[in-house]
Amino acid sequence: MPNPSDAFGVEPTDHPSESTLAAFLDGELGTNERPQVEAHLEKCATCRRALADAVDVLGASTGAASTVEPALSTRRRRVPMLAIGMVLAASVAGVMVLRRAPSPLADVDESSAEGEARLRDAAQPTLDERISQISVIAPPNGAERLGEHPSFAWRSAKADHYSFRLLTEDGTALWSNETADTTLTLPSHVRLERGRSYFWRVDALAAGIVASTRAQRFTVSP
Amino acid sequence: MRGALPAPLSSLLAARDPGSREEAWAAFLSAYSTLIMRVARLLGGDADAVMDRYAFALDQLRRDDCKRLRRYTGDGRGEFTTWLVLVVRRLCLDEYRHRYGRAQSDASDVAERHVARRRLADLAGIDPELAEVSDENDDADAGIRAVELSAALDAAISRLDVSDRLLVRLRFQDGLSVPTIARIIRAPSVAQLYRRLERVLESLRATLREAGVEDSVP
Repeated sequence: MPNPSDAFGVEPTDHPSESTLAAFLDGELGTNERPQVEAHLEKCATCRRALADAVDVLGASTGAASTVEPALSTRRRRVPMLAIGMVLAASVAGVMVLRRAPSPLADVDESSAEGEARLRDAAQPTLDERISQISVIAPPNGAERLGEHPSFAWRSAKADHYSFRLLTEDGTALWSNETADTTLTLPSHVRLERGRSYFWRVDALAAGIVASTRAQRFTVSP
Repeated sequence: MRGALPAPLSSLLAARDPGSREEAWAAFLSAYSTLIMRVARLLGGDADAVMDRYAFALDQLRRDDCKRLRRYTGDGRGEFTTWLVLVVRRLCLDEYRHRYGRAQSDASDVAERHVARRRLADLAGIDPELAEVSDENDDADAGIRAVELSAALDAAISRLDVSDRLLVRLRFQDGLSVPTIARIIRAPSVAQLYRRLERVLESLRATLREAGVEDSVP
């Protein structure tokens, strides 16, 4: 009878702290510490599961230069692309945009397959460790029945600041704000209509690099 | 020294009087409750179970003047949201274990290992049935051969460097998708990780061939 604790074997019991695991996920461990954590993870299914869950919850895209979510392709067809305009057209295409500043606006038709491919190809060499990609925490894309003053949260390591934009469904800019924080609550003077849908997006800027979320849609509770 | 804390966290930790603490806690929840709820849902269960877990996590985060959250200011690394997810997940597991005990039996652990082994052996070019070791194997020769193949596979894996062994475990033991693994290990791209995975498997095949494992025939 073979020993089941072979190459897929027994787990260690002294786990790294959440702080260390978070730093591992966010790429903030030093060159000395990272191999140690990798060695632990190699033996420890418990910590690997914790990281996989964290990635799942955060919807993070750390590392991968671009991620196209198939579900968004369906959503895209329902969105009035022309009315929304170039900014949203670039975003709703479901591509993480990562390119050089200054303009966060698309100069490529990202809504086409060719455009997506070009952006992916262009993004790879310019991937810069100084800023990771930005991903949405809340509200999730397509969220419904939100309050009239929803809060927004996203994550992106080491950005200098973020540019938040709120747009109506037809692409009209409703409100924008610059912030160094990764959360934002709409101020009371910004009035959202009940039952209406809106888009929001965030551009993260650091060291001449821009990373953008896709346009995120939400609907206010009727 | 870490950079500026997220505003909801810094306000909460700086709040001194009860009124401002309540206000800051409400703002903190406004910013992070969705995230915390998603973590609470990870362990499954019905709505009541999820809410119990969620409430437990909030209680623990707020306890002793937000002692747990203050730890982030002390030794917290990584994004606050990443750290928070991991901490809340741990709290939810504590609540789950307190309520239900340990979820997984040794038997299911072994079963999972066998499934992982099947996947890997299949990709490394070994007959997965032979890489498995069955207690019910009546054929003595095949049983011996299976043990040898299993040992060869273990030896081949042990010759990989630690990063590649981690990759093998994430992919074949944990069954994670390549895009998810790319996020975990911060691979430059998913495509690059696919290529790396193929290189690792080819390395395993080569090591197995060196060990005399040419095919699955016993």
